[in-house]
Amino acid sequence: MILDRGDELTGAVLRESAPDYQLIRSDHGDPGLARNEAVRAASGTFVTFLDGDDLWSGNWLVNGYEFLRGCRRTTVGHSECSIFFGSEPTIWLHADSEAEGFDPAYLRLDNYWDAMGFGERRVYLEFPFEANDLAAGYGHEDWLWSCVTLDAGVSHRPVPGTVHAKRRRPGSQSAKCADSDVIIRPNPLLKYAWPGPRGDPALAADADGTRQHQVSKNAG
Amino acid sequence: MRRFRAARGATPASLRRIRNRVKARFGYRLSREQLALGLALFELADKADALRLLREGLLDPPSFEEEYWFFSPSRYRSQASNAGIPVSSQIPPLLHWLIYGIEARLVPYQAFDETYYLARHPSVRQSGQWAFAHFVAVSSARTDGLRAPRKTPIPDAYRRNATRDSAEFYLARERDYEASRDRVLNIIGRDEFKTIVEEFQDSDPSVGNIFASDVDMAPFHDDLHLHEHQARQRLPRKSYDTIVCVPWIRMGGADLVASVLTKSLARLRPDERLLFLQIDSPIVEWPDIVPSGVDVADLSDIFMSIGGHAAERLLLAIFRGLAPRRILNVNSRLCWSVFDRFGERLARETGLYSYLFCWDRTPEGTRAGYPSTYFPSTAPFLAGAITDTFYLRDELTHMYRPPPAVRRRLVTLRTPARMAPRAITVAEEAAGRLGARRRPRVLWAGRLDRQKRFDLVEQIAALMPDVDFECWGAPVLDAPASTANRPANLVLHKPFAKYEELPLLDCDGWLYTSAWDGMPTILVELANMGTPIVASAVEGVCELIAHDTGWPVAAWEAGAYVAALRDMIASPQERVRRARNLQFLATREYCTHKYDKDLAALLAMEESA
Repeated sequence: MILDRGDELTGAVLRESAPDYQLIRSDHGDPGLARNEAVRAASGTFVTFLDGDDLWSGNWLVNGYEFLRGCRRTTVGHSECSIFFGSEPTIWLHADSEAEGFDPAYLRLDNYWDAMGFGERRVYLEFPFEANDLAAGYGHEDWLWSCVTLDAGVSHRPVPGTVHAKRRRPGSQSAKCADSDVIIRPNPLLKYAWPGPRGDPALAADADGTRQHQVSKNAG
Repeated sequence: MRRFRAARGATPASLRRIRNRVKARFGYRLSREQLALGLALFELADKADALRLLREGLLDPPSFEEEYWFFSPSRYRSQASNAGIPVSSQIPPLLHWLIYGIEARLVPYQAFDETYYLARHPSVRQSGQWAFAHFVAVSSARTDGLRAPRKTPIPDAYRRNATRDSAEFYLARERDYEASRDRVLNIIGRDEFKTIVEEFQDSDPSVGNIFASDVDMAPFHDDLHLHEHQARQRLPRKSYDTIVCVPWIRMGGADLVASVLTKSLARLRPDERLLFLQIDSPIVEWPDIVPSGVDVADLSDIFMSIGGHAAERLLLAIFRGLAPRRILNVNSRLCWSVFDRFGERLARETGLYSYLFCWDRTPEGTRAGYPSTYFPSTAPFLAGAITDTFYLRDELTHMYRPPPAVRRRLVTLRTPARMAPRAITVAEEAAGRLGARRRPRVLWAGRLDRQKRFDLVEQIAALMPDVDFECWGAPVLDAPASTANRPANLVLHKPFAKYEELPLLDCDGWLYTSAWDGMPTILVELANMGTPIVASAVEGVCELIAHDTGWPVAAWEAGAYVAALRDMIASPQERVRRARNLQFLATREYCTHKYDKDLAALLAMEESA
């Protein structure tokens, strides 16, 4: 568990309730950098994230693992839907980048997926989250990560039967992003001349070279 | 299994009331099955509002026609006509469909693809059922009790004017949306989902009753996706080197500047791709403003329909999508607000330039307008803030004291005259025709607005009954003034379209009475022709009309203008002398060659930046 600029009370709760977990204290003040540190500290093949006040459905780890094992392309799994509770409760269905009608152009306007994905650790090491810089007007590290990874050929797909619950609360990073009117950093996918995904990092070394990327269908 | 919500108020009694009213008004008795199918059709569009939509469709079709998507009256009329059962004007199209169209198997929902549907549902094909009735009935029943994902409707204007690509996009969107409805049933409708939610509620009671929540699936819930698609359809290319942003295409001074700027860019960078982007209003009074070879796109209706911060977000996305090397704003308000809100970051991706013209004045006389609203906040990151007068440049420098690095990027480009200079000045030629006129004649033209002081012209004419005043103009911004006190020696014509319409060779000079101004393009043209001019000595005008080039008037009362006009009329020789000086100044300083050179110098700073 990463405790990024956590207060003493939170630290005490974690030590008491999860004594078997490794607790890493960090001072990034940034969710993306905290996730990156967690990825570096991890040692398994797969990683997934759970923000402090969010919930996974009990089947998330098993279903996510089984789902990714069945994917031939490099894929990041997402919950099939996320329940936002607290202010403005909403049920959000995650899109499938391999679905026939998937439109990557929407990522120029907003994000399809949140950061609580399930993926191979090597993907997160190759594409670490960039830090938000709210003072400079850049944020939405999860949106930027969606763009960067999709551009690199990584698929984003919902894992059947899984649900996340996410609390919307004032003062969160995403609320701060909305309040301070930040935008995502420049990236190739924002341009209309974007040629489509560059190629699956895993499939690039594939000997048969016959697989094609469906997500390029609606590019540009 | 969870179920979609029932249509609000759809009880047997409410349906019976509708049936009775239809019978009373049109004489048709609808069966229960026909009404049920009609209601089911509307439930696909909006579960909660289906009853109202059905009632309006059957009893009040005008508003109905505008409102929804699953029943297209115009499509149905055409289909019925082709099937030999035309819809008379006495019967609402929906009622006609329920009575005749169902029997003829006419599909009023333009996104429904029967072949596709039957391929997905082979049992329907085998049973010989009508695919559309199956689709409506089954979809409605399956979704009974759950919320469908939110979907923003496709604006009528986009559908009406859809290109082939757009039509395919809209149809595909409808199909994809149908798939998302299936997903709602497959995810939220499952008992496992209910179990998961109960576990969440056990862990944290604040999760609450989420089944009452809106369901969203990107991009269907977001109207910006439709607007962005529509905008991209109108953009001829995917990338440009330069975008010139204008509010509209009118006959004003700023519009002329936008034209001059675009032509100059096309000359200076002939190999670069240039887009002329109309942003704030669809008005086009001057279609040939843009040189051939330059792409033009009008997105104003899109931005107007969105408004506010969402319009700014969309324009930002378009700018980032087109990824130009530079964006030049010539008076577009929305472009200014995007520069103001996002410019500091956008400037790291593309060079931002903006023209600044003179301040406007409030009725109380206070300066107002873009120079004050936007220059202080945007100047630090603009690659160039361009004024059309040195006066405005110096005023901004004096007021805001920008540091040297910003001052270097605050530059003046004097707008060139469009017409070639006359070999013989207007003053000389008019002097040669003096014998043909019995009375002196003075010309004036401008908007009949507060700024241009036409009231002053009327006062001056009243004080000079021996002189004829011929004027051209119309109110644009302000209400028309009373004509009660207009003197007999003043004639007001409608605005002129070409300078050739003006009797410049049969007059003694030009009168310009503005209370404030930058550099009026009309004065530049008149100067280029060598016209004697009496003008208010205000702001940028002083850079052109001085004591050696005309008759500047610094005291803003009629008597001072009368004295200057009398002096000008009294001496044909002096008129010729000053007009020649004026023409010399205009041909040297307000010419295309100099404009190109100065603009090239500004753009050259991009390389050194």
